[in-house]
Amino acid sequence: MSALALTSLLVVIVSVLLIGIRLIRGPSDFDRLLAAETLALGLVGLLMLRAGEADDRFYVDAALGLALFSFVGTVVFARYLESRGDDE
Amino acid sequence: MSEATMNLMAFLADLLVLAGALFFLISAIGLLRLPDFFCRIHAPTKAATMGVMLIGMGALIRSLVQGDLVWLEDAAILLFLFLTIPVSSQVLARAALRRGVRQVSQTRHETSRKPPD
Repeated sequence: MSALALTSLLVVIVSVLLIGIRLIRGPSDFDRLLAAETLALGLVGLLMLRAGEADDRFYVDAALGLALFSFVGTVVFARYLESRGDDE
Repeated sequence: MSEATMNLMAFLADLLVLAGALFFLISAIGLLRLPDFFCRIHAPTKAATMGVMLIGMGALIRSLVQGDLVWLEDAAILLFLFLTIPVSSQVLARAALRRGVRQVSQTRHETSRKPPD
């Protein structure tokens, strides 16, 4: 594993941790949903990085599935939050 | 492909991945530090998309150099992310606007406080 690839991996991991802080802190449900979507993006990036290093195509399959499901989940959950009653 | 070209392509892929990782770090910092939800949604929709696209392009070039058919799947992921991230962010922002999520006091509205239905 080259130094450049290792640096990129560490940078993405640090970003995912920062996004995790926002996921925990909130403050609104929309912030958490946004953080969760971004977290899924970061995981897609990590899986693609790992696929290149490990030379294993199943990591790419996992990245594709995660990308698909994070989109569907975000849209459905945003519609739910929008139509929910006024009880916040 | 000659040995030198392959090394050059691998180095180019590593550079693209590093640039993408830095873009992703910028978007994570933005998500953490910007003052309200409507500011924060900027960071993932723009910078994180760019970051993931660059990382994916690096992975695509690497599998192209290795003569592996996985590059088709990489290209599918890139195309899919490129189409869906703007859509999901727009749905999220519209839902937050209709639900009246707190805005910073400097926010200015061009027409009215109510979003168009």
